[in-house]
Amino acid sequence: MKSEQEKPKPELDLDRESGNFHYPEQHEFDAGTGLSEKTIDYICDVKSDADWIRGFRKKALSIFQEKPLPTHWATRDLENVKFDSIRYYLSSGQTPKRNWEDVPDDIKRTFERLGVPENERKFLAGVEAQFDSEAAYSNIRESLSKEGVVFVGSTEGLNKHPEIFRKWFGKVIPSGDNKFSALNSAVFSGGSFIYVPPGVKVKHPLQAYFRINAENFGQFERTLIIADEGSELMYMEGCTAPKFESATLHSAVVELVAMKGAKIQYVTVQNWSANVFNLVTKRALAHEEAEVKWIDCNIGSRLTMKYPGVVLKGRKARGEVISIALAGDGQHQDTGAKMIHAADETSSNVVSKSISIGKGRASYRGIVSIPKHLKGCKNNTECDALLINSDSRTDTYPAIQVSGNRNATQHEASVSKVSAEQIFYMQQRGLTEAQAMSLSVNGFVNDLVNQFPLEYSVELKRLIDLEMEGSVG
Amino acid sequence: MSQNFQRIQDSPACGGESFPQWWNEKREERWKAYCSLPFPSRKDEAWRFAALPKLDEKYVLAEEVSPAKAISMTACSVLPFPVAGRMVFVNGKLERFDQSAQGLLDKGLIFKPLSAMIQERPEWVKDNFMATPVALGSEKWEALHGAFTGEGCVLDIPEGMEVVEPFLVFHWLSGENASVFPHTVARARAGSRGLLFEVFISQSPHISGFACAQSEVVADEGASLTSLFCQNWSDSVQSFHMNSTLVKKDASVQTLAAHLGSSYSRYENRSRLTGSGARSEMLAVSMLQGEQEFDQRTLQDHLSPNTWSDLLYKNALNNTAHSIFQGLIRVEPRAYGTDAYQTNRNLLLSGDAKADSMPGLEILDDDVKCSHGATTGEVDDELLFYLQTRGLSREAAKHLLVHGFFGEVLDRVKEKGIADYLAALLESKFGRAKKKACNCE
Repeated sequence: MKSEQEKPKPELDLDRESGNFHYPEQHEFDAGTGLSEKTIDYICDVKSDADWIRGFRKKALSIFQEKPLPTHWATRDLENVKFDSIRYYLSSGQTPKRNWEDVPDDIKRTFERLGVPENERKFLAGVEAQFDSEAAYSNIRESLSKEGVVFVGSTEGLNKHPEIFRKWFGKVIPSGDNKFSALNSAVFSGGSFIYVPPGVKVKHPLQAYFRINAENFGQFERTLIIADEGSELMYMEGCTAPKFESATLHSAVVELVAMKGAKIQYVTVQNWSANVFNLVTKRALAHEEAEVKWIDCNIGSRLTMKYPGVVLKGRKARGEVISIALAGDGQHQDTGAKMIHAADETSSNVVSKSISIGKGRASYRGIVSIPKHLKGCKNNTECDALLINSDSRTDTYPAIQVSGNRNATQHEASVSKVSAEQIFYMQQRGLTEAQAMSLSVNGFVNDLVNQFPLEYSVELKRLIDLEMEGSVG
Repeated sequence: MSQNFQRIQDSPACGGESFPQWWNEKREERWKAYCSLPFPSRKDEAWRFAALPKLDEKYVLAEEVSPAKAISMTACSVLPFPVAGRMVFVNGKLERFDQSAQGLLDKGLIFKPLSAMIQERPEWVKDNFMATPVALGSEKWEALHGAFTGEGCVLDIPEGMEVVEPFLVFHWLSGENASVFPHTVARARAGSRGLLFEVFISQSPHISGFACAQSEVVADEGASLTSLFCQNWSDSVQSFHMNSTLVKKDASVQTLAAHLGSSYSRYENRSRLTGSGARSEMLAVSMLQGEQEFDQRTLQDHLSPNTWSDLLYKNALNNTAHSIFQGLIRVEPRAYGTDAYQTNRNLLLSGDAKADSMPGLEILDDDVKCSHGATTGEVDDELLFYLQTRGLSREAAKHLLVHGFFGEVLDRVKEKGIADYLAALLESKFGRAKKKACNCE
């Protein structure tokens, strides 16, 4: 154990610097800069989209163009997203390779440096690796595909399995949900479509890896996961991009459908470089007795706005959001949770911890809604914020709406800094101030970090140490 | 929207020759501001979840009542404890004024109606009247208040004076569709101490009306000031009440608002802590029933190091009542050593009642201790069961628990006579609601 702790192996490399490299662009397909009907047509033609998808995209485009930026409640930094100077589609082909050997060298090297193939061999049930707009690699263990598990990209999912995916596509998050879900619906490309048949329990996690390599680029992956009755699944995603001079946009839509008694765990470790606008809409629909758990960790990006939600549609459904946010200098992590209770005896739990370092700003925004006709619903929300420097900032903006019978909610939030007494105690036991600080911060998030799969939690701790470096003294 | 209240603006009773010209000019300015300020929209964060107030043109400026009526209302404006001074306003006109002891007045105490201050002490009014805007969403109504108010209570306790007994003010509203705009300024100068208790009340329990009140509470260095009020308008009154508190170095202020009346009521309370060592305690209780809607917005604004604030707002809701709480603790950069708490508790006494809660934090300094909590739920079944095993009926047990729910807030009021008065009012309203519910069954 000891030697492992001393030398944490970079199994899943989340170190910010190690993601900071890129290869020259060699794109066969490029939709050009800016967004118009022509861009949509180009994407549709390249992907050979069915007519209904073309229609869906164009309708979404007009919604996107009509909707104003939500700056009446959100940060004005959104105004710095230059929609006209972004490239909306870049790829080197639409069919992902099933074998790493077939993946082009540069791309393969990218993912090798990020440790993706190694992890696949070790502990993953399936991997998809997306490079700019399209997946470069996608594979799933044979035993799983024999059981009927489908794990493909969005284009393939809609084209080859419309009977499964069309029913739920855009239903959990309609295009008009917000400006960025409309944008994604117009230009989506890549992402994962997963179907787990009734009763199938996928033991190992499925992993997607999202990589932005090109400058002035927007990545718009679309993920739809359907866990049929009584099935179970864990999905993990990781994201990195090199540091460019200009801002990059990542705007995903993730829809989860948990049928009766199904369980979905969705783990995100977001480590975009500090020039990425990460504006993501994530929502799950939980049917009777289903359980959906979002485990969300935001470390990178310039501005993240992400509020994973669960619509608790069936009796006794359960939703959970576990969220860790680390906001360093110049970063704004605007994260939170939405729990929409829509059936009796549903319960939800939100635990959020944020750390603001330097001039970083972490915000929690949440909504809990329990309408009048419901009985026996419960919500618990806890938000804790830790401030490291005197310039650091944290905000909490929850909204809780409760009515009905035997419903109960409780919300608690606290803000504090690392206790001087704790630091003093550790220093007199021989630790340096920086070590003591690091230990204290790790202790603050420890109970949440432990909920991540082991491979991630070791790395998360190390990453927090890295982020803390130089913030003391 | 500006045609609303145009009739009041045009009425000869508003402003006019009884006021000096500088006052009327200011008044005109605020009227223009009211007309030009936009009506809040659904997208306004400060109006989130709120039913936007419906303003119709039926309201008129409250008129003077007959002497007989005035006497009967004045007779009801008594509380069972000694007071340091008393004013009774009926429809914005001073009907009864019990001066403070001459000894205190000689030492510089001011306890006077606002109209007299406008005539006699224009400089004081210019310095202190509407000096601390509340601006938590009701800017338009603040301007309206400023345009139409001309009467209210002024309390200015001079340096070092400690007044033990409370100052008592009654504001009555009488007549169909009458509107009033009472203003209060309470200021405690350095090292002084005092308590003001105001009652806002309608002459009859169901008559329609409009009230737009503003209170300003200022505590100078080392002063201690308590400002309590009870809003008990009729159940058909639309009410706005803007309260601002300014707490300077080492001063402490306690405010408490008890809300019982009104069909629609919005209460804004902003506390500014501008000097180190300042303390602000913000309390509120409300007992809502029928279709009452009660919207409360608060801000604890920490502008200086080592300040303390504690907010506790409790709402009990019956029938289809709806409450909204939106609160914010804001700690400005360099307001280190801030210690701030914010608690909102909602007790649902009916399956159709609804409570929206938005507790918020904006923290821009790291050396702080801040927390907030919000809970919404029903009366605890286990507590009910326990009390029943001790021989109480289910109804009596529920009653006792509601009493205890408010008790936690009222216990913090040091003036026991006022706490008892408020407890009795809340109790009788809950009792009435219970009877109503029984009749329906």
